[in-house]
Amino acid sequence: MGTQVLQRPADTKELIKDITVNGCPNGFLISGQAIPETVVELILSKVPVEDLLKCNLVCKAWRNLISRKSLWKICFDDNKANWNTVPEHVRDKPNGWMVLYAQLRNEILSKNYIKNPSGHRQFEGWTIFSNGGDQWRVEEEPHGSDPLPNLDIPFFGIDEDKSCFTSSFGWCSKYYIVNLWREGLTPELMKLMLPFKIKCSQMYTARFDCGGVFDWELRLLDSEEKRLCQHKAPRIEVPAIMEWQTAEFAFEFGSDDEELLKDLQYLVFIHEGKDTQFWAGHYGMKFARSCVTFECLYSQPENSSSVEPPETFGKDGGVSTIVRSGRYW
Amino acid sequence: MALVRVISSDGAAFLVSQRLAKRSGKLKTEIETFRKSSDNSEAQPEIRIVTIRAEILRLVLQWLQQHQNDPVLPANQNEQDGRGDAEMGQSQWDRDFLAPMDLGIVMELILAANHLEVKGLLDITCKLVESKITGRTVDEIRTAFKLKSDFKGNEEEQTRLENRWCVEN
Repeated sequence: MGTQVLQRPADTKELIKDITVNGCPNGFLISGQAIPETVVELILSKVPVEDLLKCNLVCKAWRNLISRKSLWKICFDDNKANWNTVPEHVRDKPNGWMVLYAQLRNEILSKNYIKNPSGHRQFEGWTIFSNGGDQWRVEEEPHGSDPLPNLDIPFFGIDEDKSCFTSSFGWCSKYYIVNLWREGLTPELMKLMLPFKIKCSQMYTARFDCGGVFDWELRLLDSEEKRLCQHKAPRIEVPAIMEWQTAEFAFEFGSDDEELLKDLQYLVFIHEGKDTQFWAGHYGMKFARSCVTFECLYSQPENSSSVEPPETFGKDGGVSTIVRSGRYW
Repeated sequence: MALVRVISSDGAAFLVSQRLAKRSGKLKTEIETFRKSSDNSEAQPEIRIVTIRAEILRLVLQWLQQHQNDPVLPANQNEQDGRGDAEMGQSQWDRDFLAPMDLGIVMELILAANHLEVKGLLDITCKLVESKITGRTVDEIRTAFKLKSDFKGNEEEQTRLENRWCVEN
């Protein structure tokens, strides 16, 4: 009767030897086959972007592959996503792949954060806090002014883009809150993107027979909806014109703003308008294509003075209604 | 019809048309090299593939045969804007072709497709492997691929933390 030799359970050292066969590191030896790095990369690039983060946790070799630009380049090409949306200097940062991930998953650098920019879904997403005169209304085609011009802006779908919000003879105000974290922009990602700017724009016009006036601003809130800072654009008053114009401003963020970004969670886009004649009906300012986008900058902003300390909003209408709405900001 | 003998690592010879063989980037280069070095333009090239055994080589040639009229995809598509790999999709034939294979065979096929530069086959096999990653837990992936966690100390925790930077939980 032969003696049976029981195999001793492998100790840790042997395990490590076991997983690095012929100098092939763990992660490139899949199901016993030594797989070249470029092929593992190709396999991982086919994994849906939502699942890729998980692969980070499988082993070090996979984690290293996921942090490489070459893998993300394949993912971008496969998804027909524009590689240059994330500028090279951001891609080249340590952890720059995280911005690539967020761009592919949430389009953080190529979307309008305002989902209903012109009222094609009525007031969905907007909160009206002042409904003066005969109140806000949505016009499917602008009354008493030109139709909205055709613009070659990717953020606006053609069907979504014929309508506008129209104010009345008393101040009509409303705001749109963007939860940046939910939109895929975490504080760490914003820090990685520095320097960058938040661009705000909208189109506006009056009617052929009546002038209009409006204010607009952007506020930045922390996770408790407390105001961090704001940008209030100068008041614009227009005579009786029917041609659409664009108003825009930008917030720039540089390395000095890291502290502020740690807390930043919400953006509030506010606009309010009315007519200048006090006419019954809807002769007030018209708004369309409200737009908030993020754009990486190539150099530090010269000063961050566009970020103003908090001040009260709306000289003759906004402030009281905001207080009434019971919000901190 | 010009033919070429392709010989596997275990000595099996496959006689295929050069037109078909040239759909593999590697075989195309080998045939051209043979042409240049041979005085006799009628001579039949013989190519030894020392890394691929007969069973796998047969599968590659079978796939090439089926797809002989497809457009040849460039090996490196990254610079190309047009259609991506995902777009190519899989035919029913491809699905039936891959269905009976276990992961080990698929991996061998991937290596062969990579070595022979057969982009289309590489794509569908990689896609098949991908389907064993998507929707699974980290532990399931490690088990499926016989991989071991090699994170030390708090490296895994740190990676988890960094993952949370990428997406709101």
